[in-house]
Amino acid sequence: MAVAISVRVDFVDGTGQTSFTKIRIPTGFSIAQMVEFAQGAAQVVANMSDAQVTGASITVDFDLTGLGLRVVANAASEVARKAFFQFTSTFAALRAKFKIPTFDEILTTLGSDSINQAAAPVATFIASIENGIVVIGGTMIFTNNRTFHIAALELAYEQHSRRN
Amino acid sequence: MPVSNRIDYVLRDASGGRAKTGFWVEPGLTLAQYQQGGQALAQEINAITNGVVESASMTIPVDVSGLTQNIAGANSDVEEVARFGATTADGRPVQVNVPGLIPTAIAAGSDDLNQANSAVAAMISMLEDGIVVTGGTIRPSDVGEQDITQVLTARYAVRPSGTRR
Repeated sequence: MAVAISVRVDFVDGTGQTSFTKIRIPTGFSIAQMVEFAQGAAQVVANMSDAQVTGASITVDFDLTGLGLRVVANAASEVARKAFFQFTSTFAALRAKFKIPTFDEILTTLGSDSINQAAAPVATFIASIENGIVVIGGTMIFTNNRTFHIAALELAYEQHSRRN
Repeated sequence: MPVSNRIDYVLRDASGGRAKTGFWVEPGLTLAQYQQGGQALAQEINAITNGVVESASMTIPVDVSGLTQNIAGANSDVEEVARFGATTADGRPVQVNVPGLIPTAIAAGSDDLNQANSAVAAMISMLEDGIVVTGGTIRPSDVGEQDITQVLTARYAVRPSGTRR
């Protein structure tokens, strides 16, 4: 069974406390249509709230079935063991950073915390982030959070961290 | 300045611990294209990790800079909520809360909302009939995509301090 899409509207009140409203909508609509709905819904809830709407977003779940992904975690897996990647972007002062939990330690360079960039799965991942992933009719381009395209890998090392 | 869309993955380790990782992607593709790209990236993440890629989702920011009547009142409080109880065609319950309820929406002498209030009426109409968008109408639903058919209750409620919704 498909899972409905979530539309979320965020609020802040006069004391600075935050909260949100969540409304679910069915799948089958384009992004532009869902954005229209979210903007309309944001106005409706803003009209009946004394708090201020600070933002809205749409969250869509992806179907991961049939991809051959691991279904049982390796006994040595650990979410605190992360692969840290830092990339430059087309805006010189801004970077893009990713931490990937349960990183497979066998992919580090022997005797260091550096990630072995020559290992095939690592090289594939880095190339995808730098060049994008080809999809039907286009390419999914990776950016930093301000839409500046990722340019090149700058740092890649193993890092232990409990925080996401 | 525009903001990118974000694809998030949740990974799980052997002890049941979970953590999230996210990637920013350029706007402009269709949902189907993002789904395809997100699936491909899930496989690449699977290849460099030894946990389970448990779920993936994409969050699309929405521009709300054009909203009107959108200023926080000095006495506004997100812990005072409008609570709407609705039902679907299958009889499944759906609850939608709106924080920071305006006091004028409450019917005098009760905790019911005044359904003659234009803002309350508009909210009920949106939940029951949806919003017209270009090329169609989007109707709110439950998590299983069943459309909401009727709002049964509309009440004022107070949420304990420290809770978010």
